[in-house]
Amino acid sequence: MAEPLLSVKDLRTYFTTEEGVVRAVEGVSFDMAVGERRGVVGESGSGKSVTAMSIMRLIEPPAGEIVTGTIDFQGENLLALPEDEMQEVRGGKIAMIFQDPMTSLNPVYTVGDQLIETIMLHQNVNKHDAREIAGKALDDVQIPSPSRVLDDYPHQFSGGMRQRVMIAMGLSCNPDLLIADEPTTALDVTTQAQIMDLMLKLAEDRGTAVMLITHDLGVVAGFCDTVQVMYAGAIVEQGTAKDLFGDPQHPYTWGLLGSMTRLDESHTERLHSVRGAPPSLINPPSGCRFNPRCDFAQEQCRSRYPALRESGNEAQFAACHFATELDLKSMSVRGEVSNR
Amino acid sequence: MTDMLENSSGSVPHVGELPSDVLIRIDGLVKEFPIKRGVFFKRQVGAVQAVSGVSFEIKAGETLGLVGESGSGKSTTARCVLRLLEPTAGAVYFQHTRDDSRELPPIVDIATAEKDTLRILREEMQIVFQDPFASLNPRMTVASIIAEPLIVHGVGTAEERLSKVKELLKTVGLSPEHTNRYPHEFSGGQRQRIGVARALALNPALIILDEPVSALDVSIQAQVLNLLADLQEDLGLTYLFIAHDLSVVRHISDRVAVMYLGKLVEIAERDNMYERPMHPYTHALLSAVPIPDPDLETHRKRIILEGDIPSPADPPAACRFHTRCPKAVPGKCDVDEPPLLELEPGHWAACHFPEIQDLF
Repeated sequence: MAEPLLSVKDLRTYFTTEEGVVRAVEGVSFDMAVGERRGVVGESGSGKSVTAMSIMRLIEPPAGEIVTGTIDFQGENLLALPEDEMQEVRGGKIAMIFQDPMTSLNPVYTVGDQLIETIMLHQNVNKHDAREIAGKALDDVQIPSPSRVLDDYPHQFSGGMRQRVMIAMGLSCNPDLLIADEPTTALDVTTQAQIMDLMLKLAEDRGTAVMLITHDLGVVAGFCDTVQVMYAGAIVEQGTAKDLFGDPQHPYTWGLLGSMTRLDESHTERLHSVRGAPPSLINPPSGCRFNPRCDFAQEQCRSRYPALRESGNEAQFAACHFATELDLKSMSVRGEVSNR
Repeated sequence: MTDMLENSSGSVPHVGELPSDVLIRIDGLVKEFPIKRGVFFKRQVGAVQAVSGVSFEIKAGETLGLVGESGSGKSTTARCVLRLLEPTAGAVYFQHTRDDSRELPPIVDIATAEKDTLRILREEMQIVFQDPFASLNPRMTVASIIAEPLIVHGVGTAEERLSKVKELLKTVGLSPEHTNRYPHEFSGGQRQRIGVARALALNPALIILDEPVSALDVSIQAQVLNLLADLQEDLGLTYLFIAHDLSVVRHISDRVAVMYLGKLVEIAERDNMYERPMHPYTHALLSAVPIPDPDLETHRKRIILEGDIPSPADPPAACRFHTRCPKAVPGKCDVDEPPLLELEPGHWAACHFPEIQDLF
C-alpha cells in the first residue's frame, strides 16, 4: 500500500471543565489515502469534530489539549510542527469548511478581501494576481459574475451562496485534504444537493482528499468511498461505504441504520431506536462504551474494552467483542427489538 | 359574553358543514407581513407573502405531513391555524368533538373567532416546537412547565394537577420523580418529551408538531417518533406534522402536502406522494434527499435545481416555481397560474404539465 496521505495514531484530546476531564477523543487511529473520500459519522458528542480540530491543531489550551498521539500528514507529524509552519499547512495543504456559513465569514470584510487574504497568505502572489485567483475560485463554484461579487459583503449572499464562497476559499490554495465539517447541515435539501454535487466534482478534478464529517448517513452513502463511525470519542466501525451500509458489524452502526427513516421505504412499524442516550465523556461506562445501550451486551462487554479489529469483510473493522459472532445482517432491524 | 360568542360564530355564514371525519379545514389562508420603511412615519412599502391562498383538510385521527424548504410558509401556516399569528385572509374551520364544549357551535372559524372562543378552542389544539432548548423556560421546574396549561385553563386543584403531571410524565416515557427538576438537567430528547407532555396536558384533539425531531440525533429521533406514533394510537390524536426532512415525514404521515413559496404545490396520500409524485418541485425535492444505501445512491436520478428559492417579498408571477423549474414552458408557466387540481383520486397537484415520475 502506498504511503497514506494522513495517518492518525492513538489520538487523545481532552478538555478540562469544572465537572472534570472530558475525554472527547480517546484513542482514535485511522489512515486516509491520497484522493480518498472518507465519511466520519456519529451523533453529537461522538468526537468527530474534535478529531478534525485536532488535525488542524485548532484545540486551544488550557481548556483543551491533545494529550497523546501522532498525526502524520504527508510523512510529517503535524503535532510536532512549530506554529508558524503549522500555519502554512492550515488553509494551504489542509483546508477546512465549517457547518455554519453565516458565522464562518467575517461580516465586516468583503468576500473578496477574505479570499484574497487566504490566497496571499499561502501563495507567493501580489494582490492583483490574488484577486484574479479569487475571481477564478468563485467562478469554479458557479457563482455568477464573480468579479463583481468579490466586492460584496457576506450578508448579501444566501446560505447556499455563502457555503459556495467557503468552498471557494477552501479550495483556492489547492489543498491535498479538505475537511468539511457538516457543510450542508444548515442548508435546505435542494441546496444541499447543489453543494454536495459541486464539492464532489471539484475535489475529483483536483484529486483532493475529502474528510466529510456529518450525522447524515444518507449524505455519506452518496458521497464517500470509506466511512468511520464514531461513538463516545472512539471509532467503533470503519470500512468501505458499501460494506458498512450493507453489512454492518457493530451493533451501534446497525442500530443507527435501523433508527433512520428512509425515503424509499414505506413502513408503519416502529423504528428500531437505540435505547437510552450517549454517555457522559467525563465518566464513560467501563468496558465497551456502548454496552449500556447495546441489545447484545454480555458480561465481558462491561469489563473489557474492545479494540478495533478486522471482522466480516476485508478492510472492515469493528470494535466489538462479538462482531464476528453476531450476524447483524440477517437480523431485521425493523420491528424486532421494541423499546420505548 | 354569550352574546359575543354567538355573534362571532354567527358572522361566519358560509361555514356550511364539514364532513364528520374532518377535524379542521383551512380555506384560502393568506398571511402577509408588511415591510415598513422610514424612521418616524413608517409607511408600508411592500409585503412578504408568506402564505398565499392555502387550502387543505385534516381528518380526525390522521397525520398530515407539511413539507417544504425554509421560507415556504409551512410554519406560518401552522401559526395561523392556531391563530398565534393573525391571518390576513381566509378561514380555518375547526370541528370540535368534545362533549363538554361550552356553548360553542359545532364548527368554529378560528381565523375570525373572538378571544374567549379562542381560549376555549386552544384546549383542543396544542403545539410542540422545534427547539427543545428554547421552548422550555429554564427557570421553571418540569412540574410547573407541564402544569401551566392546566393552570391557565383553570383545571383541577393543585393536588390534582400534580398527579396529572406525574401521569403525563409516565405517558411520555419519563420518570414521575422528575417533577422538581429543571430543563437543563435533561437531554434534548427528554426535553422534547417534556414539550410533548405539556401539549398533552389538556387532552387536545389536534397537535401541531413544528419540526419536533429536527434538533435531535438520529437514535433519539427514532425514540421520539415512536413515542408520537404510540400516543396517536392510544389517544386518538390528530397531527399536523411540519418538517423539512422528507424521510421522517414519509414514516409518520398518512397524507403529505408540499409547499413552495407560500403555495401548496402537491398534496396526496403518503405512498402516492413518494412513489408517484407529479409536481416538478416534488420531484426535485425527493431526488435531493440522500438515502443511506451506497448502491442506490450511485444509480439514482438526481434533479439539481438551479439557484435559490426566490424572495417571498417579490415572488415570481404565475407559477411561483417557474424560475427554477426544469420543465417550465415560457408563455405558459410564467403567464398562467396553475390551479391545484385533483388529478387522481386524492392526489392534487398545481402544475400545467404534471407527470408521474419514479425517483428510486
